[in-house]
Amino acid sequence: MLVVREHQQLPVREARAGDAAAWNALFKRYQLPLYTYVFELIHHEQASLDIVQESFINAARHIGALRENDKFGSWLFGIAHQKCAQHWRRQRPENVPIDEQNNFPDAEPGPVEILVREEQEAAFMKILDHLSPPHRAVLLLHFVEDFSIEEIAAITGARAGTVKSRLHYAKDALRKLLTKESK
Amino acid sequence: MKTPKEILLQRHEAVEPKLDAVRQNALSALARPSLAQSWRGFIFSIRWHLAGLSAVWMVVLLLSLDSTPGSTLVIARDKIPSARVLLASLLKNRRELMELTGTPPAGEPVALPPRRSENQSSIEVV
Repeated sequence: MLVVREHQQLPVREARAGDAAAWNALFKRYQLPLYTYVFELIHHEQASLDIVQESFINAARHIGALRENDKFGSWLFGIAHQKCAQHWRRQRPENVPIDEQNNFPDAEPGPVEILVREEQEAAFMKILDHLSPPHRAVLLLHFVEDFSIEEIAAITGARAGTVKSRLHYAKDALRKLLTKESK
Repeated sequence: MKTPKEILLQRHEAVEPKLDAVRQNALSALARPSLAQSWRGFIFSIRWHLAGLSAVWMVVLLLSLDSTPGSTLVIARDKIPSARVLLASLLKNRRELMELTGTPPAGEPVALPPRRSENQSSIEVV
């Protein structure tokens, strides 16, 4: 079975040609990060599994729309993000979509490397859950797949400046709360 | 110390078997052609039959168009008798009818009542 390590090049070219083994490898590579992202946004296991499956099928059916092979990951997360937004609208139609909430002024993201101690893990998750959906989405994409600002902007449909400020705000809030927790 | 990524992924590792099933479902959905693809394939496979049937229907349509309105009118017009024949047959019918009912035929004059002046001459003033 074809297995893709993170540092390896993804078999997107083979998948485009309809190679089932390549699709299997791509799905295997992304299934857990994608599920993690979706679940942490919508907090519903079955709906998250459905979204992951629909995203895989949509990706395979519309692979022709992907311009650059090395952007497969962000493209796949973009499909899933749109499905999360649809889920959000269905669940709470009175709420504004997750892409359009809370715009903060632009700020340079600081070189904040967050490391969490074992006893802080629960607090970390609690803090993450307390962030607004747009901030949580940006932070999750940054943490889970280490996407660039431009890639996160493409996934969430927000401007790069907005993503930068959200990331800065979310990381800052997280860092402060973790420091407070540790005291 | 763990990175946020490690914490997040570890938190959902238990779902891996379900995710494997999801992946298999997605792969089998890809192996199955979609409804649109199935229809396209079906139509493509019977394209010659459809073309033949269309040709037959076109011929039938052309033939029926050729024989319907114009020719029917001509036939109908040919069957209409002339006015003279119609009149003759009407007179014949009338004559037969009168013979049956005992009414004198139209050609003989009908007995009219005597004139009023003739009647007056027979009345004498006493």
